[in-house]
Amino acid sequence: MPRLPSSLLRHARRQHPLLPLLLRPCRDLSSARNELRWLREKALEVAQTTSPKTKWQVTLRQSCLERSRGMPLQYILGTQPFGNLEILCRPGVLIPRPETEAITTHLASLLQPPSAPTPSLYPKRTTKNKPLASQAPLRILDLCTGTGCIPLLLHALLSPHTPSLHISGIDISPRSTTLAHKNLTHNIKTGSLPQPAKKQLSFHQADIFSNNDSAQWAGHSTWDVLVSNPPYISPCAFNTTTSRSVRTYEPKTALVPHVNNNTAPPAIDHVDADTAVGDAFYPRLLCIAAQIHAKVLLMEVADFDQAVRVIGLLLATRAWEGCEIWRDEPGARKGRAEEEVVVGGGGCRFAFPSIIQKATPAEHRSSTLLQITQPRIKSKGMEANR
Amino acid sequence: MFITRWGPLRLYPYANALRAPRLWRYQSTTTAPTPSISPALLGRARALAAEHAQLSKQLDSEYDIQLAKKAGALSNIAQALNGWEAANNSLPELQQIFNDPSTDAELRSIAADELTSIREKLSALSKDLQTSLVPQHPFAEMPCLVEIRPGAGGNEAALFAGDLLRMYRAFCKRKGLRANLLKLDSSASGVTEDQIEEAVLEIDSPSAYDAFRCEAGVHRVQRVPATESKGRTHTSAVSVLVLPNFPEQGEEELGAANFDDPSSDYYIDPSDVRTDVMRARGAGGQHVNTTDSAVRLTHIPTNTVVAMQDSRSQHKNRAQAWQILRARLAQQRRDAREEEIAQLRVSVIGVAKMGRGDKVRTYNWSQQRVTDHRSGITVHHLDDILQGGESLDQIMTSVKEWLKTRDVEGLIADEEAAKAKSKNEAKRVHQRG
Repeated sequence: MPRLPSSLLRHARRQHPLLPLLLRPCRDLSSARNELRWLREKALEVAQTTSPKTKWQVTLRQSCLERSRGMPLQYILGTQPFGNLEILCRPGVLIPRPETEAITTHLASLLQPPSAPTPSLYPKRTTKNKPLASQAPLRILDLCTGTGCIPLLLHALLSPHTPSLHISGIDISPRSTTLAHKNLTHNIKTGSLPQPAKKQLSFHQADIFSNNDSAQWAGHSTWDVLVSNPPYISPCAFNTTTSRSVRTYEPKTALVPHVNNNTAPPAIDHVDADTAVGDAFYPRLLCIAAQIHAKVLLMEVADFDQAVRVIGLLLATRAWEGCEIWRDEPGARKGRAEEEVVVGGGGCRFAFPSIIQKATPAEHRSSTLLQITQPRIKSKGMEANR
Repeated sequence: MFITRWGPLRLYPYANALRAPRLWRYQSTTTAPTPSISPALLGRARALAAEHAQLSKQLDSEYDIQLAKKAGALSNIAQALNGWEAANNSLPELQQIFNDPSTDAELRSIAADELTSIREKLSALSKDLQTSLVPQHPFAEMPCLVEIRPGAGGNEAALFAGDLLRMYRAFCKRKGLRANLLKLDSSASGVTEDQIEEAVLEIDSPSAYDAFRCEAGVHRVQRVPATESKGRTHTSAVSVLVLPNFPEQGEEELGAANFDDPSSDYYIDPSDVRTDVMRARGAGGQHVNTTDSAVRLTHIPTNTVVAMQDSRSQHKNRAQAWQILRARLAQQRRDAREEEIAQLRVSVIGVAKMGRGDKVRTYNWSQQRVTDHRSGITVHHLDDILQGGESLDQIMTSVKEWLKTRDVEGLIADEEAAKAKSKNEAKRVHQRG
């Protein structure tokens, strides 16, 4: 990381004595100023609510010092906005990322009932002319849910159109599920989520690699949509490309797949062991998707290379009809040219954002959506052409 | 009186006043309201009143919301015209009684009294009629956004922008208007409200636009700034923009203000707007944890840029940026429209339109006064004005009056231009025939 120029530090100090501290994690003046403002608002709020009155300046100084050591702002402030929700963040649980927010919003827009002008992924069986309330609920399962942000936002976005919903989140860490429950009650209390969310949303603690509860996920054997933002960073990438603040303060289990004998990396001959560790969750997720008869599968991946590797796995299962790769902001820029990508000898054609619904007799009329989170790639979406 | 001078003239504090009495005023004269109503306007008022009568007859037979709305809008004019005509008709009768040599002295004195009172009434009534004829501003009933930006004058301008922001917030608080700060870019610490680079105040009460319309323009300040070490008076300027705030879609029928309807004047094609989200280079997602939530919208055809970074939520920043962009574009389009109309009028009125580029008001600290250059009013309660008190009301009312008389002038000019045009055409037809 390049050293901060002393002129910048001097300039910052002249504006506010605490700004140089915030420049260390922020690296530029405008975002440091913003963070200072948010921290100040928080400090003022804390000073008003706590009974033994500590001066807000003291609180502000303390939090600036913490921030300068790399502590994520969201852990200091305790929250992170996610769509129109406010997600509580606590150490030990991964902070929701803006990329996840973007794909969740986009998925929700695709899952809306077919009356919407956009191509809909809404399950086929519910398109019959029945009143919506009498239909079976739309079931969404989120694996590796963390703060519960994806199920909560999906519920907030879908519930106005889809009265009958059932969304579950699963995580291995008991801390996560407790926090997810807290988030649920918090957002109902602030009015961001409707009252019925309490019944329609649930969070469970489970290990998705253990075979004990794999027959029934969260009490149900079939789900319409499977979403996951699994740990996808390889050990090598964790040491090199991952930022220091993330490495020191955020839980490693949510970032790097934990490999033991049970979850042995699958045999992919031409990639080395390191990337295999990074990809460890995807074969299992594909397997679970098949088990629960999911019609839509959305997984977040790290970069384009990983997306291509996962598509390789996907093609091997021969169970999926179409596949798309989404860039960071799916749906933001439309009308880009289609691009060709070669995966394991088979050509893949880009057709974003529409999904080509081929009349295949396969039982699984389903699509896989992969979210890549590296902005440098020019490609937007991809449809497996088999 | 003769004053002995002991030094050069410029050393005296009121040197200009000593030189010669000032017999002229700059841009500060308000024209007296026309006592009699122009025949062009009268014709228009009669036509509209006839339309109102017809509409109310239709409404008696069957009720229709659209018609009722239209009739309601016209009822003002019909009422004003009725009052004016009643007064106007009684005038010749009284005149006759007064002039008749056979009337006795008592009756004559009564008639004289009546005559003067009716004349007074008539001038008030004709003013009413004129103002009722002025079409309402299309944004008048909307809530508004007030944008404050320092102009020439560096830090001092930024300081004064902060003063103006405080003044408007206090004014809203006193008036019970809901105001919230949508955007605040402060130049210095990013923490205080003293020096402002840009502030957008959202005033969320209906017809706030009408209330604040008179505030748009350049506000000039003359004072010894806090940043000045040698005690010199500086002149700086702050520009204030008043934009219509479009309510959230789907609330009610908005007519021309419906920005979602492609046929509307204020429609923005989403494909014309480029959205930029600030993103760091390199790996994203789980690898990094960004707090940068800034959003920048660029309307490509007009090159209008709105950047928002106040909220931690990108979602909220985006919504607010759209709100400001919509307001700015609507005002731009409205300005273009008004410019066209002014071009048509310029031949008749001969006075250039007061644009937002001209200074509208001066705040002078050393004389503790505020002068509005449009209505020509000067108020000496500077502190009260800066606290948004009654004196600010006084100034705003006088400017509104000024705007009204100007609108009436414009209306008369329009009518006359239309009349001249039709006359010319008739002449041409006559010549041809």
